[in-house]
Amino acid sequence: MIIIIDQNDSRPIYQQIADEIRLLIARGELTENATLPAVRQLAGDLGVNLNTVATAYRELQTEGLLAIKHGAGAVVASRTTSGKSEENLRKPLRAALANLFLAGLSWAEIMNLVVDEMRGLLRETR
Amino acid sequence: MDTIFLLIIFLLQILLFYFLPTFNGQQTLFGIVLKDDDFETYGVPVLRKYRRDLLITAAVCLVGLLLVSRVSLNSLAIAYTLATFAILVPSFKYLRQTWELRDKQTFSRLASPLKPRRLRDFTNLWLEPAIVLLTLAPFAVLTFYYPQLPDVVPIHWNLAGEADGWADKSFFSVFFLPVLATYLQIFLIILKQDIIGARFRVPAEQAEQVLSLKEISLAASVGLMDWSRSICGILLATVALFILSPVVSPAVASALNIATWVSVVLLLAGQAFYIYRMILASREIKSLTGQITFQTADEMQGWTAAGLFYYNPKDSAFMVEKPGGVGYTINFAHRRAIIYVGLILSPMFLVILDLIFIKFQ
Repeated sequence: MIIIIDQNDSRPIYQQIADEIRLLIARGELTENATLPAVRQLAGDLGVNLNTVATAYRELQTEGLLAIKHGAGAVVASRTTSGKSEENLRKPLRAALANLFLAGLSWAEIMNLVVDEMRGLLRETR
Repeated sequence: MDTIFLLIIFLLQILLFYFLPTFNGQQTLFGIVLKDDDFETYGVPVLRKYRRDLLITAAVCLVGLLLVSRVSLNSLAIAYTLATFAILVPSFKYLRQTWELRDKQTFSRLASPLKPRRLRDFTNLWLEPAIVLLTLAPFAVLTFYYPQLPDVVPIHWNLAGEADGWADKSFFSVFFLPVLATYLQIFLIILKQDIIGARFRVPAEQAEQVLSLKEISLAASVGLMDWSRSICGILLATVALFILSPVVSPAVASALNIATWVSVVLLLAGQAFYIYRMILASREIKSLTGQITFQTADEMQGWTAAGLFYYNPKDSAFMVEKPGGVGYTINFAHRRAIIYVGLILSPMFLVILDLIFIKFQ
């Protein structure tokens, strides 16, 4: 169970951390009630600021994925996000698809990519 | 007898230093990966010159030690300490040269495990009470025997366990070693906690394999700490009870002496075992990835004094791996470094108190 950070990625580091944790939860590698490392530990391991990790944890907390308990650290609270309207869920998907389209990929190629990613996610879940 | 013993130890030290530069395998020097992996061009000449200088220094020191050993045992002890420092000089000299030749490859994609590493997960519940008992028992035993102790107590012993230094009986002269042992145990448990929290970092490629090797290395570090804490506990407890030799039977005194020597041998053998395991893991990481530690460009800037010190205010990590991958060092720019400076200075304070209260009374 590892988390990968890329300094050359256009996404900010806190976003990358949150995305990596989301992926691990979606795949079922992080189960409910699994304890996450303390902010201090993860920040030191990744070589980033304490605030960067704290921001990522807070973002996941507002989504309902994490519960932050004083003393116990961050715990996976649920494997489903709460409070996201369908429109809010669609937005990033639309942006991602638009990017693929603009990159010159055909309808079929985009479909293949989507199916491939879905399979990767589901295979791990089982 | 004492002279031969010291000379054998000194020869073993020279042997250790002779093979020190290549502990991480043939492609590294002093644990450091050389640029372009070109050991033949950069490494071999440095290694040859290092060994030549080491052997010359060692030969001079040996002749000196043999001459001094005819004067007195005390001057031999001082000469031996000086010789120990003298054979460090070639290491520092060629470590500096090696540092200039190091491979400066940095990484922008890095991985870390998303698994908490807490002190309690690395704690053996049988060991901790035993260590507490070993640390506190001498206080109880010495308090019990305190009234029976003579007005002048032995505070220093030769290698055979015979007293060769005395002091007036006082709280400091009797309880100095148990206080020192308590201090040492506190220091070591803080150190263990920080080693567990040390930066855990692998490259994004081959992450899983390197991760399992780094886990072996961490387990060996924790094993080294636990072993040192236990055996140092036994060692300091037996040495602290030496002061009772005037009031207990000679059989007990000689048992204490044997226990001391056995624990010294166990301590060194155990430490060698765990360090060897760390070296094996480090070598395997090297052969797998070509590197030993994986750092960002920012982190690489933090190393000073040929990689012996790390000072990086931008780094939130406190304990970091040494460039050779075996052992850890602290980030001196971190707030927590103050605790370590305090812990290292406080025994000096204790020694000063010792001098004031025992030696100059």
